[in-house]
Amino acid sequence: MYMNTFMNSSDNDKLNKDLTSVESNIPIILKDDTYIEKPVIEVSNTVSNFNYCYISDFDRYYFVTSKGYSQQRYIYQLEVDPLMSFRDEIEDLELIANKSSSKFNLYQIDQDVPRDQRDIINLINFQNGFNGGGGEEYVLAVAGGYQPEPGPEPEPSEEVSVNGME
Amino acid sequence: MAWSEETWWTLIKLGIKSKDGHIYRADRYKQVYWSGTTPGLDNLLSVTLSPITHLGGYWTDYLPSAYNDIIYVPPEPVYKQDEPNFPQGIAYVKFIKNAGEDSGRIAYFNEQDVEVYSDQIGYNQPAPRPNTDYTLGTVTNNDLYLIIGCWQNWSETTFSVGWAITGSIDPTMQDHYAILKAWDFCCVPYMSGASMNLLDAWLYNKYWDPVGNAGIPDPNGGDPEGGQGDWRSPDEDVPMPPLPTKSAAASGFMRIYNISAQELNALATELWDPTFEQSIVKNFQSPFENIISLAIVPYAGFTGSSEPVQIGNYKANVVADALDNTYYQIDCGNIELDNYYDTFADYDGYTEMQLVLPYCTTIPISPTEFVGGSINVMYNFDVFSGACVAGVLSIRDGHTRLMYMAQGNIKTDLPINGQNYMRVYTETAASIFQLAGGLTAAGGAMAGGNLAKGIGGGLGAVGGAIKETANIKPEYQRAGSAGATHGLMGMQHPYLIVKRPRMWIPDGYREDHGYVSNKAVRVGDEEGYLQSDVSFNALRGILCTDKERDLIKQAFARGIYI
Repeated sequence: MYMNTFMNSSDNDKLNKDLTSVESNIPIILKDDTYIEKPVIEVSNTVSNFNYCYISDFDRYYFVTSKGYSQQRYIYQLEVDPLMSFRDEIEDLELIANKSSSKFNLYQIDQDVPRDQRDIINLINFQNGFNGGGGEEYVLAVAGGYQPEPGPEPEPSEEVSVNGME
Repeated sequence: MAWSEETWWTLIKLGIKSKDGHIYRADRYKQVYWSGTTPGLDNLLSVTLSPITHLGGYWTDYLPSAYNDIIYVPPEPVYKQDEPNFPQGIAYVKFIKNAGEDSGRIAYFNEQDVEVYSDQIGYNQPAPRPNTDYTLGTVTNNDLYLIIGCWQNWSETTFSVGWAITGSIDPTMQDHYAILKAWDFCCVPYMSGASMNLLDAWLYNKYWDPVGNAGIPDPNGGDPEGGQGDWRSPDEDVPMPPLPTKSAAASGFMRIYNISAQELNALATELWDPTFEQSIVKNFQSPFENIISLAIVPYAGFTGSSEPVQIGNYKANVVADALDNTYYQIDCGNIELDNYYDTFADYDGYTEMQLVLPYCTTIPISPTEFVGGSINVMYNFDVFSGACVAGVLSIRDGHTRLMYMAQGNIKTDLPINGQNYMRVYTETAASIFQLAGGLTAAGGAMAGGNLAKGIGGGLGAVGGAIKETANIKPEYQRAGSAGATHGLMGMQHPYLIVKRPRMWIPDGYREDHGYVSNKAVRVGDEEGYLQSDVSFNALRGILCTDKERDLIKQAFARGIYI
């Protein structure tokens, strides 16, 4: 069984790691019974420093979580990096993104967006209004007040005798 | 994908905004962030946006000073007299780019079809090409999509769009308008590179996301704007109600005068003249019984005719204007309420608005109902009773909607004798108690409300999280109800109080944390941060152990970087 070693400079949650190759085809031995997700390996030869590796027999990439030395052998505890190991299949995944750097809707509420306690206060006046403060007026309401148009002057009346008496 | 296999297109949306017969130039544009290594893309995002000022027949281009999410407010409306509100006819784009840069292509989409105007524009030109006009076609509706594609790097480029209002092509570009509502940039990878079919279909299905990058269409379909509505529900205008036509002034049983201070003094002197009573021929014991009311109102635009003041049958030696109507209206004007952030922070739960209405009260209003349009306040009032109604209207998307109404009283009654004074004093005292206790006033004016709850319980409607956000800050009650006398001593014109959150977004926040998405994506087509609550079953297709599958699920829950 062999491994290729690398130096990983990427975040553990990065899908495609930025790897710098260190050594290739380093013979390794699995120590005791082990699981494919967290193997413990032994290396008899001195190897250059590395924090990441690939084991071809498992076809998986691993983080180095611990390093030790016992009985003239270097012992490495590894933990699988499932993102890098299955990146092709993961890239084909179609899913609903909760958050995204590239495809987002800023009108949806995002409580994680930090805010300052100092709110921005604006006062905006409307252009028009009432005339108080110097332009007010008096209004007087009265009963009646009907003002008929003056009629024509009445015709002068003739004296009329009653029963012929003047 | 290799750069040589792709053409990147930028979709710019233009709209027409008209208001009260005026046409405004662009007041807002937004740059869509796009991270990537494609060289042409970054430079294309540096396109200089060019709001255009139409100055009586000529247009002048000028450049904004920054590119990133600025809100540009024109200092004054741009208009030309005797022009239609919406220009129709041939639209032009004026295109200026630097010399020596590679070519591109312009197309336009008018919600009908996509037309490619030119194969190459500005190809290897030794000098900039000012005043180069490209016909976009006839504008038949309000939205025009301008699609610009480039193959390689472009530096600052100016696009200007206008319409011929004379109906003919003017080679000197005179008499052209540029009417821009907003520039929304969206960068789309054009997959085939050979035809417009994919882009055409993509636009027809309206997968374009006006906010953020749309990227490729949602392979699972669905409306990227959410929900299943078709945005075509009935929507009607609700304007301010008209004034009544039957007023006390026309009843014939009374006369209402707008009387000056000098005339009022003269009338009082005349009525208190000891020889006055000898002239009374009616049944009333005192002329004062014919006086219904004397008041101060904060209004001077009365209509009426000048005549001697007649009290009952007594015609005084004082002249005043007899009103022919007691109902009047004041239009207090409009306030434009553009987006400040153009994000959720502009709306309920984050931005708060209160409207101070003189002679009525202070009311909280919902930003969601006004942002993106304008707010208009109008008063209908009766100078005889003093009753007033303030209407708050939302003018947006071509509609006018009456959203809020408040009641109050604008009349300050003045006593004319001792008995009359007691009534006025009692009403004023009651008004003071109403201010302290927050009760509704006699005229039905509302007390100043609790802002957070003043919008029909809207906080609850958007989830408990928003309520938590709003409850971080204490709520303050501004002014109480304003009776007429107090209103006379207060503000005479409405004003709007806007309280916005100060968002604090550090550099790199989008790349490290992303923003809320809720969109269907293919992982390999994304860049940057991606977080998803992907289900375990969705990962069944990956040939890994269950433990590894669980690790992948946990990684997506934390967010991965692509």
